Amino acid sequence: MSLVEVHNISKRFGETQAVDNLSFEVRPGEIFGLLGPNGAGKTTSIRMILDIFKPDSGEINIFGGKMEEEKKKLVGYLPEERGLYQDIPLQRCLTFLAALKGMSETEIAPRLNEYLEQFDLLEARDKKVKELSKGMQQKAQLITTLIHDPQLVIIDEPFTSLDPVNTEMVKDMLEAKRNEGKAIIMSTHQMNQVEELCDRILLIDHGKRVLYGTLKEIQQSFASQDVMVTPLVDLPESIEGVREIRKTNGRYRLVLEKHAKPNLVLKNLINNGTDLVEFEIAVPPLNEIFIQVVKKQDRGGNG
Amino acid sequence: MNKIFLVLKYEFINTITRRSFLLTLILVPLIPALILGGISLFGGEESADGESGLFQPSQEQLKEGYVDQAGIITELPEDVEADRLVPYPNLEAARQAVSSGEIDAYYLIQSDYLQSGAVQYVREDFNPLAALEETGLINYVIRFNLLGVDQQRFDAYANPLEVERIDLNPDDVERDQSSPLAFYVPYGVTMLFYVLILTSASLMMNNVAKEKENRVMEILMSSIKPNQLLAGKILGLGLVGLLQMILWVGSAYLMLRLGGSTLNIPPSLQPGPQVIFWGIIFFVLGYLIYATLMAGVGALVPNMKEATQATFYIILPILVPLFMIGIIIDRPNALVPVILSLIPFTAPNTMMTRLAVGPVPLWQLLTAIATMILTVVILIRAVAGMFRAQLLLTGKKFNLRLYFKALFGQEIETLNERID
Repeated sequence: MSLVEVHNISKRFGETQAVDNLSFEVRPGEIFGLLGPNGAGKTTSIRMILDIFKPDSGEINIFGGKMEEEKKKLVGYLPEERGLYQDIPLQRCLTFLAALKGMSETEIAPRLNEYLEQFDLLEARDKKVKELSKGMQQKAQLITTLIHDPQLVIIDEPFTSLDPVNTEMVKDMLEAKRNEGKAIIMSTHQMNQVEELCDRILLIDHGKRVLYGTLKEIQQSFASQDVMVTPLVDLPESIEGVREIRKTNGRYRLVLEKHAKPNLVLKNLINNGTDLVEFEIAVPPLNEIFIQVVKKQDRGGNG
Repeated sequence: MNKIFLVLKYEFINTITRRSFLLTLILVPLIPALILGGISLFGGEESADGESGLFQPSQEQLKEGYVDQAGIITELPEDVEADRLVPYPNLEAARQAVSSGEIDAYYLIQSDYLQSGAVQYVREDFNPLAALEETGLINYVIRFNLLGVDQQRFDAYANPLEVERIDLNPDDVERDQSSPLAFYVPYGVTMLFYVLILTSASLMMNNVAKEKENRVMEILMSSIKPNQLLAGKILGLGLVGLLQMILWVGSAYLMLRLGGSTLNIPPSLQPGPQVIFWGIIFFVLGYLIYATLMAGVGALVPNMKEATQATFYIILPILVPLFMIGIIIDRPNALVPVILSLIPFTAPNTMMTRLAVGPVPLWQLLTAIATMILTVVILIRAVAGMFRAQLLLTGKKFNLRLYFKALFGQEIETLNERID
C-alpha cells in the first residue's frame, strides 16, 4: 500500500499553472526523489500533500485517506524556506514545535535531549535562535522535522549549510528511517545525493510529470549503447562491433555499432586476450539526464 | 482545541517573559507613582490650600512694599501677612527700604491710577520673567480695596457662579466642574485605555508579521490550521493585555485612592469601581476588534516594516475620541459623544471617557456592547478568511483598498502570488 497517492492534481495561481495534472505515489520504505528545475511546482506539490494548499482539482490520499488533523502528527516537514522563531531560546522553540506535533512535554524532553546531543547542539539549547549559525539552525530545523518520529518525512534541500560530517550523519539518519519502513520525500538539486539515496524519482517541469520511476529504470532508459572499459594493457586498434574508441581518464568509452550488443563486444575482447579490470554499460549521470530532459521540455514547451 | 491552547500558552509565556514587555508593564505605573510619592514627600504638607508647594516656589519669601500715590489701598485683606506688603509714605522711603534690604521690591501706584491703571514695579535685580509672575499679590490687594474692603463681596467677585448642576437623571453624581481635575481624571482614564488597547492590538500585528518574516509560518502550517493559529493568538495575547490592564488600572486605582489626598481629588471626581467593571468589558471587546484588524494586516503584509506603516490606517477610528475628548468630558451626554460611544470602533474609549465623567445610561452601555460583539463576530470571520495559507506564506506592500476588499470577504486574487 502507498503512503501517499497523488491523483491528477492541478493548482493555478492567477496566471500561472503551478501544478498541472500530476500523479505519483510514495511507498513505505523508500526515499523518493522529487526533482525539477526552479519553479517547476515542487514546493506547491509538497504543500498540497501537507494540506497547506488545496488542489484546484485532483485528489491526494495520505495514509489511506484524506489529510486529517491526527495525520499531521505522522508527517515531518523541512521546508525549503527555513524558519524558526528567532527571539526565543532554542529549546523553547523546538519544544513548542514538537508539542504542535502532538508530543507531550514528558515525551519531548528526553527525545529532544538525544537529538540535541546527536547534532552537537546541547550547549546552544539556552541561546536565542538568532544567535546560532546557519548550519546550527539547519540542524535545529532537522530536529523539528524528525523529533516526533514521523511515518512520512518531507524534506526540501536537507543538506544545504551542512558540513560533510553532518551531511553524512543526516544521510545515515534518512537511510535508517527508510530501513524502519518509513517513507521519505526528498526534494533537492544535488543530483549526486539523489543517486546515492533515492530509490525512485519523479522529475517535474512546468508542473507536469516528465520522468517517473526507479532510478535504475530511468538511468537505463537513458543509457546509450556505449560501454566503459578499463583494460590492464592497451586496447587493440579495432574491436569488432565497435565504431569508435575514446580515451578518457585512463578508461575507454567504446561507442558500439548500431546493432552490436555489449555482450558480443565483451566476448570479442576476451577472445583477443585483453585483460580487463572493468567492463560496464555506460550509465549517464542523473545530472546529465536532468539537463537533457529539462532542455528538451523547454524547447517543446516554447514550441 | 488542544492546539489552540498550545498556541495560547506559547504566546502568553513568550510575551510576558520578554524584557521590553516587563519593563513597560512595570515602568508605566511606576513613573506616576514616583511623581505622586515625590509630591507628597516634598511639597504636600507645606501648603494649606491643598496645592502642592512644589508648584509655587520661592516668591512666598519675597517681601514687597508699596507707595500708594492714588490713595486706593486702605486695608490689606486678612489673609495677607502684614510684612509681605509694607506701605511706604513716599518713593524715598521705599527706595531706601529696598537698598537696605528691608524689602525686595516695591510697587508704585501712580496718582492717576484710576484713569491709567499705571503701576510701576521696582526691584534691584531686574528679572523680567519674575516681574510678570509676581504681581499676583498686589493685584489681589488692589481688587480687594477697589471692591470696598469687603471679603465676602470680593469672594463673590472672584468666583461669581457657584454652579450646582441638577440633572433630571437622579443617578447623576454632582461634579465639581470648576476643578481642573474634572478634566484630567477622565482624560487620564481615556489615555490609559487608549494605550492599553493599542499596545495589545499592536502586539498581535507584530506577532503575525514577525512569524511571516521569520518564515516560521510554513512549519506551523504543516501542524496547525490557520484558524487555530489565529484563535490561539487572539486568546493568548488577549490574556497578556488583560494582565497588563489589571496591573495598570489596579495601580492607577490604588494611586487615586492613596494619593487622592495628595492631589486633593474630591471623591466625586474619582472614578468608582463600576468604571473598572465596565472597563474590563470594553477593553476585551475593544481589544478583540483592533487585534483582529491588526491580525488581518499582519496576514497581508510581508514583513514588520510594512506592518508598522499600515498601523496608522487601522488606529484612525480610535483616535477620533481623543481629538474630541474636550467635548466628551464637557458634555458627556450630548449627541456626538453618545453616537461615538455607540459606534463599535470608537465606542471603547469614548465610553470609558464618559464613564469616568459620570454614569452612562444602561441602555447605551448595553447597545454599545451589543454592536461591538456583532462587529467582533463579523471581523473574526473576515480575518479568518485572510488567514489562509496562500496569504500567510506570501505578502505584498500594504494596500488599504485590498485590505478592505479582503475584510469584506472578497477573494483577493491579485495577492495570490506564485509561490514555488
